[in-house]
Amino acid sequence: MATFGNQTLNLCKSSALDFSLSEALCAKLTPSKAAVFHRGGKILEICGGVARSRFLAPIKAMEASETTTHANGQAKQAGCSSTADVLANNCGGFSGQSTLQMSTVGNSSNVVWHKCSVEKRDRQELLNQKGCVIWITGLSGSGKSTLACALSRALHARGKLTYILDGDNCRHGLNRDLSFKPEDRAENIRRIGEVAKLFADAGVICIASLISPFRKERDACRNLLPEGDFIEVYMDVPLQVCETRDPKGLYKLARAGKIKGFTGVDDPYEPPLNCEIVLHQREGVCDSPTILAEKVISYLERKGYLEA
Amino acid sequence: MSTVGNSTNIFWHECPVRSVDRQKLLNQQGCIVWITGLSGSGKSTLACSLGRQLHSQGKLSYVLDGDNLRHGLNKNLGFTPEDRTENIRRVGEVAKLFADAGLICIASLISPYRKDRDACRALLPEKFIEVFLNMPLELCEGRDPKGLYKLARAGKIKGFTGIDDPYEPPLNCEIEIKQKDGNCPTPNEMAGQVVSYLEDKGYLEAHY
Repeated sequence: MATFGNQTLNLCKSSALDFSLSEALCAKLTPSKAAVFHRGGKILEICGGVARSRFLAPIKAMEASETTTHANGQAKQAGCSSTADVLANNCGGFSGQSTLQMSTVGNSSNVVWHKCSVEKRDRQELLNQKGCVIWITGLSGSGKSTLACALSRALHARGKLTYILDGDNCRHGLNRDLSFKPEDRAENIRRIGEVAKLFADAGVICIASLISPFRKERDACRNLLPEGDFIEVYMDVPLQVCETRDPKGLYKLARAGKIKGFTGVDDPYEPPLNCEIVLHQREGVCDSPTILAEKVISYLERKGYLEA
Repeated sequence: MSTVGNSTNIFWHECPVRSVDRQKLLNQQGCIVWITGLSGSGKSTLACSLGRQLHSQGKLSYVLDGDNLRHGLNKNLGFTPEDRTENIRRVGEVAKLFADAGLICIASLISPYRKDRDACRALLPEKFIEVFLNMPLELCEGRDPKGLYKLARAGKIKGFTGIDDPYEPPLNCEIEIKQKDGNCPTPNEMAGQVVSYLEDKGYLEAHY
């Protein structure tokens, strides 16, 4: 519920709300009305993270701040260990947390924590989602990239920010210096795990899609993230089905001996023993990418990743 | 199928959600803000302030700090010249991914060699904003926020930029921040300067 002038609006959280609609709603709000809303609390949720920016006036730095803040222990900058330091050293001020900045503090009891930097939680609020890593693993041809695309499309349609890290795409850039030797494969996965972790920290739903055949390496990536934020999806498709698809012609080359160490042919694939989602596919019984994507999305919804 | 570098038999996977779609979602344009300067020049401080100011305007940014990355992605790199180059290359590649994802990616690292910074610029030439924190060595050393200048002067660190390793200032960067009449701009002033630049160039809105 929100009070808007003399009207009361019944609004629900914007996760299902079309962004153009939320923008239209928020276009009615002016900075002055927005100020009224701030005292109401979590009003900013209502219009979703993006639309929020439209009615918040940028907050300029308050160098000689009237705001008394508690900076002990939380400020990360040098010389910022006390409020006096903060004001004397102009330690970045605390502009940026605009909702907090708007309260005037003097003798007032409205003293709030101003964090020095923007944290994951802040970004998640902005995006109205929780950052995580969806790690899609399986044989070549099991449908990983196809699922990744379908998933990102479906999440985008719900107003969620995703990004795909595909084993092949990454080898064009970050991992262009790596080959397919065992140590380089391990390094490929390690780097992608680290990058996925950064994306999750940024609040993005990061979809990593790579064969990643060894349990040890996938588990090492899992351990980079907080509990629950690493969502392993196993494309459980029999080798025969993958080989029949052979979308890149690689099985054919591998069987002809032209590629060595190809997963499934002359290199092992170690299926996950305990992953979050298993998508079974059998010959003749094949869910469409859209249906598979919806299974993953249901999981994300249940676990609360599609809201802040 | 293509062969790239040491990798053969790889595909580019096209995907229907593109950079422009994410721009529309976020109402901003992804880009790289590359903050370079001596240790103690204020890079991390500026990155922090900039992130906060952008957040206050509802813009999504993310800071890639040279130090933080060396604890994760780049933990297998040291400080030899080759490793420094590789450190910067990887940060550049990651920043490019973040920019493609629609974020305003703030990279904050000494990055002392022009060649390495220019190589990162070449990854995303249209959306690379180099910010040079042009602060005098004496000022940086006077701050010495991590105690590294002291260690370097005592010979306990070798190859420390500014002491016994060169810093090559940018010749043609987008934003140069320096002292005015011997006074340092505050972090918020510096961040404000960068935000104004981003605003003027249209990064703080989507174009479609």
